[in-house]
Amino acid sequence: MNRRADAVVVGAGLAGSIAACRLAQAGAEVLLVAAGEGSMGLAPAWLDVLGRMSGPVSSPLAGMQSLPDSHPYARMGSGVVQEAVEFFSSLVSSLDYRGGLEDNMALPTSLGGRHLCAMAPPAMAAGNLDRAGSVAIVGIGAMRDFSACLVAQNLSAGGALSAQGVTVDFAGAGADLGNLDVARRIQEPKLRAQLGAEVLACIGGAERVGFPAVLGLGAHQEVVGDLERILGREVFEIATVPPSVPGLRLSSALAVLRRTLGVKEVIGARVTGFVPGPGGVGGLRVRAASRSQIYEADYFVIASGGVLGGGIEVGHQARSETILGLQIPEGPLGSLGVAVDNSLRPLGPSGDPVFQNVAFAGATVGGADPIGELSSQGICVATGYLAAEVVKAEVAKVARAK
Amino acid sequence: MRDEVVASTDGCVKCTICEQACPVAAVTDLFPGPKYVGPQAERFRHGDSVDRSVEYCSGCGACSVVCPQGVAVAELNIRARAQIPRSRRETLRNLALGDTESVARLAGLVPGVANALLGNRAVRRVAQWLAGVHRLAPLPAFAPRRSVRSFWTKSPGEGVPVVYFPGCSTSWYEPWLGEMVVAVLERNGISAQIAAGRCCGLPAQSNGFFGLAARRVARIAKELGAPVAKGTPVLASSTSCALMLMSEAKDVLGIESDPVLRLAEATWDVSEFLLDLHRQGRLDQKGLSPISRRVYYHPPCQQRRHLSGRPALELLALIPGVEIIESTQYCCGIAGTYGLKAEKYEVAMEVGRGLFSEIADSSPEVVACDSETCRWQITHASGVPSVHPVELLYESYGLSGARRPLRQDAKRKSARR
Amino acid sequence: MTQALSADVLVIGGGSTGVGVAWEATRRGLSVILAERSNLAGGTSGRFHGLLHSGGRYVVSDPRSASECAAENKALRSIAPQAIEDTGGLFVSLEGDDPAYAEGFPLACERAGVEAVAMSPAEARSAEPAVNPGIQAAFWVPDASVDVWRLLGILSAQAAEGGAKILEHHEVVSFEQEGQRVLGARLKDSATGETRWVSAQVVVNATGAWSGRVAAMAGCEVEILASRGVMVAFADRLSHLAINRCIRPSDGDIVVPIRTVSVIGTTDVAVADPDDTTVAPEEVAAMVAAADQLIPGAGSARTLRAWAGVRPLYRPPGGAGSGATRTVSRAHALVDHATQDGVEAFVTITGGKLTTLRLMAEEAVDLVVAKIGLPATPAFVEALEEKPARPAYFRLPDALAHRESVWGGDRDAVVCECEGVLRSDVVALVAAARGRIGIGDLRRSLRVGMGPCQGGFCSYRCAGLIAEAAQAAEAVTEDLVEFWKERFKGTATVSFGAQARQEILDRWLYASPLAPPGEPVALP
Ligand SMILES: Cc1cc2nc3c(=O)[nH]c(=O)nc-3n(C[C@H](O)[C@H](O)[C@H](O)COP(=O)(O)OP(=O)(O)OC[C@H]3O[C@@H](n4cnc5c(N)ncnc54)[C@H](O)[C@@H]3O)c2cc1C
Ligand SMILES: Cc1cc2nc3c(=O)[nH]c(=O)nc-3n(C[C@H](O)[C@H](O)[C@H](O)COP(=O)(O)OP(=O)(O)OC[C@H]3O[C@@H](n4cnc5c(N)ncnc54)[C@H](O)[C@@H]3O)c2cc1C
Repeated sequence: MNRRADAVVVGAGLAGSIAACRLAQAGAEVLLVAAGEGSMGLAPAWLDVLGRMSGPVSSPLAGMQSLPDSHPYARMGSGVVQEAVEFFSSLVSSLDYRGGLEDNMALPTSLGGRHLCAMAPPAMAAGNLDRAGSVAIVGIGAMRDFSACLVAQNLSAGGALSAQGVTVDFAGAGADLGNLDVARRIQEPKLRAQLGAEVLACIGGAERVGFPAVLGLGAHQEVVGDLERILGREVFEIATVPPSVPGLRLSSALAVLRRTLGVKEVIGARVTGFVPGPGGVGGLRVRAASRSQIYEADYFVIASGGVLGGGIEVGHQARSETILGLQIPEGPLGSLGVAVDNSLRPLGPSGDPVFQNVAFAGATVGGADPIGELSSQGICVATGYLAAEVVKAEVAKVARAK
Repeated sequence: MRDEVVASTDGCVKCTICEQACPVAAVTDLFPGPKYVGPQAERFRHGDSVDRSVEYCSGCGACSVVCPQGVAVAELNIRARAQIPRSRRETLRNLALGDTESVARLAGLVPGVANALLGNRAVRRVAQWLAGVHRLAPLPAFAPRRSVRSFWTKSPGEGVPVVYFPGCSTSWYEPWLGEMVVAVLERNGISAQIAAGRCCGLPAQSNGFFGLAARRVARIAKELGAPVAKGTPVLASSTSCALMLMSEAKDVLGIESDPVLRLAEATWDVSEFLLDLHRQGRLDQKGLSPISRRVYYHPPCQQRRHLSGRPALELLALIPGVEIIESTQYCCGIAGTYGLKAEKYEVAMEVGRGLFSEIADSSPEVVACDSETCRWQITHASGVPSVHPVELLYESYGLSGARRPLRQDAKRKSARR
Repeated sequence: MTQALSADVLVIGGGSTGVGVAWEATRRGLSVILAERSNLAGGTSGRFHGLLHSGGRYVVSDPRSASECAAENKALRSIAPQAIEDTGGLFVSLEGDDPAYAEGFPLACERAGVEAVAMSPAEARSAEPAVNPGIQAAFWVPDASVDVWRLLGILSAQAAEGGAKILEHHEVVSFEQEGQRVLGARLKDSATGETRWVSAQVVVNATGAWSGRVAAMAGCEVEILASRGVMVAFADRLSHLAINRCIRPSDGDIVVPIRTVSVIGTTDVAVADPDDTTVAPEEVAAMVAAADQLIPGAGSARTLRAWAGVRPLYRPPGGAGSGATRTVSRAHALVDHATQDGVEAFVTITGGKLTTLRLMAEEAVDLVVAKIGLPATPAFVEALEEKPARPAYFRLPDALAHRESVWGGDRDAVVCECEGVLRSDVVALVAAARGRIGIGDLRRSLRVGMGPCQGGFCSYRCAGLIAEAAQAAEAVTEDLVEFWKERFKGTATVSFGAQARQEILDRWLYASPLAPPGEPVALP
């Protein structure tokens, strides 16, 4: 039993979504297969491009120039990265991302740290720590994953701004609230009005008010609007541990886009291998409920999420890529990835591409230290975009040849 | 060797993706979420059942589908739920809902009487009080004996052989659907042998009767052993039966016998099969005549666990004139027999709320959905008639003979208040 | 220097031996100060294998140890059942193992007084379905598993109730001697850097693998062969019975189910420095392979942590021996330095097993009492003996039931999801310590951060609760980051498969939503 499409994309994370949307927009028939959801619902929805090298990076665009040649950004060139980020912004224009590649902004973390990122949705961007003035940090008593006290005291200790922590009750909401519980409940206008009133009573003259990033899912804008109205000042969101509510907003925006652009999806099915074909790979073997199927295509984008996403298996002896069985070059756990050429095709030990019709994207791409650099999301967007561009061009070639 | 499902807990990195996807935890505090009762609790259970918090898991399987780490969350939870000690009354209620085949065999003898009773408000009130079946819950109506007879006497016709597994719903409630399936297959050169009317065991399993469920599956595997050995595909139009035969028998019940594993490999959802025909260029696409209708398509949770995409949607798209609205919602809430239970009815309705309002907003003429229990729930809650996607193909092919009795839907609607 | 303290007995070392001595001495009515340089069980006791030995392991190689274990196994069960899970254990011989060993095993057990019941392989398989189906012979033994932090927590709390002063984070840096008599010791408080002077009638050196060093400070000689053993924990329980391989003691011959995990151990490598607890990747691989032989499938199960402990093997003065650590007796030694070195009021108790802590304490305190006599009114003993019946052994599902008790209510929350730790448990400890408590302390008391995610999610929640009470975010943040680093140390050699994925997730947590102010967290 085989299925066919112009291009098969593996992975429903940020990289796979960008690639699939880009391809579908260009008119390709796209089949997306993923063993599970990607990690968008885990990561804060700010868009990191390059936050650190040997120290903090103030401009991702400038910082990119001094990366080693094997770094994905260096391979793609900053022009492509810029195009990709612009594509991202226009794709999810409903989320209204702020910022750009010229300057990083510093946003607060749940531990009162300074996180450097290129772009962020408005409610997060409003938390910019380089803006002067006093802030109030609001915790919710029964919420286990946010401590206003830690955030506020650490921010103040940093000296840049004065922060005051307050903790309020979320009326009638129970004793154990996860991020999602609050995000869902706060969508009730009455409940958020109550919360707003409680907060107003204890924030004094603070100029901005920071909340954990749980200000609503679908009704996010209404929630922020109402709170700002009640409090009479700007409200911002602070990134939390998973589940990441802003991440979920991004993830559902992209899921809707994939659907409306006509991407066909199979979520929950794992790709276990491939069958060879003319360009290297002829099809991917996909495990359904009881049978394996072959998904055939002219081109393949593998955006399988690296070690965490399931794209790379770390064994006792070897570390290998899970779909094509590629060997992963030695390196620290945090930077394991497939070696690729400038078109994101995987390289063999000799340094030549081993599969012509496969492009890798996202966290499975090697050559970076994504955690140390705070560059993963930028790499996902840029490689997802470029992979689609490469595939698009190749699919067009095939079409012409036919 | 370590049990595969239990061993899959090793994969859990606590990432919360399953919690994000769980439709039940999203609407009620009665359920603490799939991770909490699943991979987390499992490390402590040690064969004991000390936690009732898993009770409100509906078994919809969203958690297993979205988990990128391959943790069999739903399977763990269904197993754990089966371990909960129950009162006699609860056990009886669950048996009545779980042993659908025996109940249907009895009631099917006197469908008119059964339907009259189940449609009677007073009786339903008593049933809720006595048996814990919610008085408003969308119980199916037994088909008139005439339509049942008409289905079972249908001849397979000419063509490539397959086996059609009708399951309880077609055998006793919606025999016309079986007739339509067989006719649509025949139209495409497939000769469907109708398998005996059997319960696949899923209701028994989800109500905690693993032994009964295992016997049900084993019996089917035995009965279908010969055609399966010959490589004949087994088709189901009920997504839950297909799921049971394809994967749950092994993953939840832990049956690893050869006949059951072979049956699993042979089993197809009917739409997946038809779409595969189409991909091979063997589906009569030209014969599909236009139906101008606004159809809302909802893939049921069990169907998503077939891991085959949305074949019915692709099939419907082949019908000229049909305007399709694709559901963006995960679950209607019913989850087989979950939403029938008095204590869970409200939760199930709340789970389905997003779906029902999406349906209302898109004002379709009909809802297409591959699972019978979902169709019953959807029509119950939204008032919009619902059909199996094959019913639309049947209509589009201009086939006739089998007919869905109209009053079925009307009745369901009237039972809402 | 802060104020001087004095007591009948100064116990140095807060491992199982030292805590046992402090407990026993208090029971007999002596006043006690215990000084431990880190925290209770901060030495070998917190890095052991977790088995309450039936004695079976030593019936052939070391019958005296075996008999002691058999007797003390029973004793500890009645002293601190709450710290013990009565798992039971198996001795099994696999294909290829010397059949003669298994044949001689029952007789050796009988001689040593170790209870052992022969089982057919089929019976053993049904008692423990996880065991290698190819077993040739099997015996059931009364093994159990011990939660050492709980055990030492119970004993030290009882001692404290009887007046003992337990000083954690106090290192003995020198002795005060008058002629050939030890008068007391100088302790250094690691938190403040201050030193304080403790005088005592008798000083008991219970510093395990470090007792040679400590004895040397008093000019005495104790020869310790430090022997390092590596253990690897799996993320889940692979068996419910302890499984011992029925052969001469060798590497990787026991799998112990401890709470939510199973632990395979161990190795036996002589080391020069008792603080050398490094773990080599080859050792991990060897342990996992050994576990796979006892429990097929263990080889592909998720590994959670690896660690090493250093055994204090005692070599009597002038005692010959090859130096091979496996052949040195596991039995304990009580050294009266008055007779051995001519130094009065100083004794060393070392060697032995955690299982034999009560016996070791009894012998040590007998000697102490012989030196100073008993006080007139041993009131505490009676009070202790009058305590109502103690709760039974702990069972794994009890922890789940504890967690379950908060579900559906409006009262409480789960803080550590892996180990089912409740917010009320954490808050109670934090309040009792008036906020002066670290996440590491919560871990030892409550198992916070010991499950699969290794603190990834719960540590921040705990930090929040502590910060709330202490109003000292900076210090709490520092402690949190230290905790992360400490957790990562134990996972470095086991980062494969799911644990590698977990590690990436945790690294992201600490680099992104939980990034602390200042420099990024430098994880190993
Ligand atoms: C808590 C947390 C915080 C983070 N914070 C930041 C941050 O601040 N800045 C930053 O830059 N990054 C951050 N990240 C990292 C970033 O989110 C991820 O690296 C990035 O999203 C990876 O995206 P991806 O598309 O490559 O892969 P993923 O989102 O992991 O998606 C991988 C997809 O591939 C599928 N897949 C894998 N293998 C197979 C297979 N064999 N068959 C079928 N499907 C398969 C998976 O199921 C999944 O759908 C954070 C991550 C986490 C977890
Ligand atoms: C790998 C391994 C596995 C084992 N498995 C088991 C088992 O399963 N069952 C069993 O019964 N036994 C087992 N044992 C043996 C058992 O762990 C030890 O016998 C026992 O823990 C020793 O306790 P202790 O108190 O003597 O030493 P320790 O626990 O090491 O205590 C000595 C304490 O002295 C402190 N200290 C050192 N110097 C100073 C100073 N100057 N001032 C203050 N304090 C100081 C140290 O910090 C330390 O906490 C195992 C041992 C090893 C190594």
